[in-house]
Amino acid sequence: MANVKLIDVCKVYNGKVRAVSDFNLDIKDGEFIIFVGPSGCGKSTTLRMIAGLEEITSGKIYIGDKLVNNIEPRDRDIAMVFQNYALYPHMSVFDNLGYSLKCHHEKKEIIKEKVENVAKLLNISELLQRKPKELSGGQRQRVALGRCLIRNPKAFLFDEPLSNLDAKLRVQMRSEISKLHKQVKGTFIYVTHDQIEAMTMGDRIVVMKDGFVQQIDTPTNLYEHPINVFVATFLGSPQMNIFKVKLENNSLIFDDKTSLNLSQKIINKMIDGYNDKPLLLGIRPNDFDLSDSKDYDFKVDKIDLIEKLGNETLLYVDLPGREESTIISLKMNIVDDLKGPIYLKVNKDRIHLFNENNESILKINEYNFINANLKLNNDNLIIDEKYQIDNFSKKSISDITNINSGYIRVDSNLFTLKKENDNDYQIEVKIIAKDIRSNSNVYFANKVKDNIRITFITNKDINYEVNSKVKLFVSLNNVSVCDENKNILMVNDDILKPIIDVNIKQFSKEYYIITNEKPFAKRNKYLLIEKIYDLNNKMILICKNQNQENLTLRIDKNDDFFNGMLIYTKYKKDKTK
Amino acid sequence: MRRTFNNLSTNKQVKKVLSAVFIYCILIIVSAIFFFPCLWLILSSFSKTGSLYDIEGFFPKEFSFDSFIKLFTDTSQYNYPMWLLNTLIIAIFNCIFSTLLVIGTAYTISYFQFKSRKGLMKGALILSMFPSFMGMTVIYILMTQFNIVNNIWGLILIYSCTAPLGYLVQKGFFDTIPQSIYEAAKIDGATNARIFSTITLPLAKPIIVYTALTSFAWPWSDFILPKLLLIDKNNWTVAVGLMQLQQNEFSRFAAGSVFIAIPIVVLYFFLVKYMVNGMTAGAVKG
Repeated sequence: MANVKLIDVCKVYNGKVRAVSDFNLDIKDGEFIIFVGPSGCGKSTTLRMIAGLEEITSGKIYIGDKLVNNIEPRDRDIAMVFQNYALYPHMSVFDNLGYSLKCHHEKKEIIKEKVENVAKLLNISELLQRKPKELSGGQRQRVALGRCLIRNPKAFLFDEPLSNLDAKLRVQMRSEISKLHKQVKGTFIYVTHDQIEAMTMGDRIVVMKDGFVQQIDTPTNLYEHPINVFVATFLGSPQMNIFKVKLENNSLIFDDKTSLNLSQKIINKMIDGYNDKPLLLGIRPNDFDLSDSKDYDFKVDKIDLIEKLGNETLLYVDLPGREESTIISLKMNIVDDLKGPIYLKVNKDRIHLFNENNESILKINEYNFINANLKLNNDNLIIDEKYQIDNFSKKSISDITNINSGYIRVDSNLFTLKKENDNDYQIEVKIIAKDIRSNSNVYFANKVKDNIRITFITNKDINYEVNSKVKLFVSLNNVSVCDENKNILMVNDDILKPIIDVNIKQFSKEYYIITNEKPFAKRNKYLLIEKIYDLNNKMILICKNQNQENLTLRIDKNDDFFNGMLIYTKYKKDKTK
Repeated sequence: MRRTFNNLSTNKQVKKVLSAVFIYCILIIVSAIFFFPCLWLILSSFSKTGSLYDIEGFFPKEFSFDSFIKLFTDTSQYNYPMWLLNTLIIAIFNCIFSTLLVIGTAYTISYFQFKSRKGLMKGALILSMFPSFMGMTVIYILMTQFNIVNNIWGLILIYSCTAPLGYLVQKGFFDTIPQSIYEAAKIDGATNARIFSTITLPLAKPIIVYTALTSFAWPWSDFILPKLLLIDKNNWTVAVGLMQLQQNEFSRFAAGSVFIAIPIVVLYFFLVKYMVNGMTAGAVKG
């Protein structure tokens, strides 16, 4: 068994179709991880890249400590179950199970022993002499599983293995695979488009859409803390109801002027700056409850439809802020002979708020922007008259000569709780709310002096109470400096100066730098983007050319660019000269 | 009411029988048209005098086995056993080489993705559209340059090397083998050679039999190429040799033709099951 690591993995077909972009994931040894998403989201492609059946366009894949980018599937020591089982039709079940051992030149006696053990484990001992065509779907599935188990590989890959089975068998095999994982304690990577499979089987789930990872977390955290509307509506059945609302003084106003007061817990987790702005409100069907006429959030005159499912009852009703019916899930025994009008109450601690870009405003900030006094002293940058960054001009990505105030940008996961260097930047915060993620605790806090909102992430074993005060530290090597408009002025990275301003144009889905400088075109036939810095209306691209030389480009902002992308160079004579 | 129903069903049955009779009549006539030349040839081979002119109506006046006996005993002028042996050698070796090359080509084009794959496929398709005798002169000149005219191994070389152009049926068959089976084998640790020998070949048994049979049958009955390339009497194949017989040796010609057809017919009967599988798999699914 081994851990599997994907770093900036991209897959582009024929230089045109981008199937997977910037995939980063660290799968721990023995973890059961699920890739889930709608058809065409790149989940199977990613799995096939891990298996080596698909070449990766850029990035790195490690299985154990070994970089496997250029290693053949047979040498990666992995096993895979295919959607259509892919059993060898001309071989008996015994030969199917023993084929991989034969390929690895195992002795006949050992093959026999191992095949019999696996057959016993999967209850297929009596089928060993049969051919695949003589087996039922479930039996074939077991043989396919057995073929994986026999070799004790570093990782088990499953490509929608249950999608060809009927509903009953699927539920049975689902639990068997989960049991099997507990038994063999292997690293399982499982692809499915079925959210129930994802929620019930995995330790962690990777939700994907259009080739991009949307969110990676445990099933509970994905359900409780979706990062955007897609994740919120994709996971959970029936899906989350999304309403159009406006935020006014900690209340949500619907289009018919109905208002819903936010709970303090939600207010504490909210990112600033959304007052008076349109938002999307997400409420899961089971977060509604029946109430009475004295204490309610919504009054519903008519119920459009009632669906009794046995263990729960679904009500379809019209609520403000939505064009389609709102689904409400209630316990069965409450709703016998239910007629309108009914009064609904919402569990306000469990609502979700999203901005216009469909992203949650209750999410963990990736970055914290902290107000700072900035001053240039010769080539050194002085922050808050206390902290000093040397050789500013070498690190800056804008040509700044004079600066008074701005922000320092700190990643939420880079704060430490102990001072490590004398020159560490220090702030004191007061915790206002706490969330739990897969391996960490997330704290929402306010800076004590000027009430700036800070998010910081700690190990799961570090616990603070709400309202407690905490001192946070961050190394100056880990901060970026921004101007008043939050444009990045300086990053602590290997930026090669001078920064070259270029225009990038797209021809037949490929991107070209059109240059009239022959030496530049000759030296840089193509450039591979390694890192992107967003500067509001500009972007800095850290690139490598075909000779592995670094160079830094500045271009107009364009969302089409991604890490691992290739840009070609085209020389064109400047006729105006 | 019931009566009407009975009348209706009787009418339907009569119609069914009549249409069956009509169809069978047509089939019998068509079969007769096709079978008659064969029958005529078979009967002619038993003609006693052996001349084409010694025939009354369509059939010989007297019957005997003389022509068959003479075929194998009177070898001074027409060495039929030698021609038969030559034909057998050419057919067997062509069967082996062509099958290997065609299956190899079809598998490569179907399984591997390489740069010039599409160009090669298009080129092969265009080349195979030209009739093979168009290149006769060139082949003859080339063979003379390499000094392998009048040599049955030269003929085998030509047959085997041109065979892969007809890889399309076989490729169609390989295309029907699901890619995931190959991928599973790759992940199981098999090399390309092992995948070919333990997965592809056993699954491709029908198409291999079909390819082997057609590769065997083609030189067995081909006339133009052996006529062009084999000059010496002792190197002739049966098809070339029989064409050189005198007019009064017609029953010998017929006997030779009948005899040469026997192995092919026997082979077809034994392997017809695989053949049909192979042909339909390649043609329909491909």
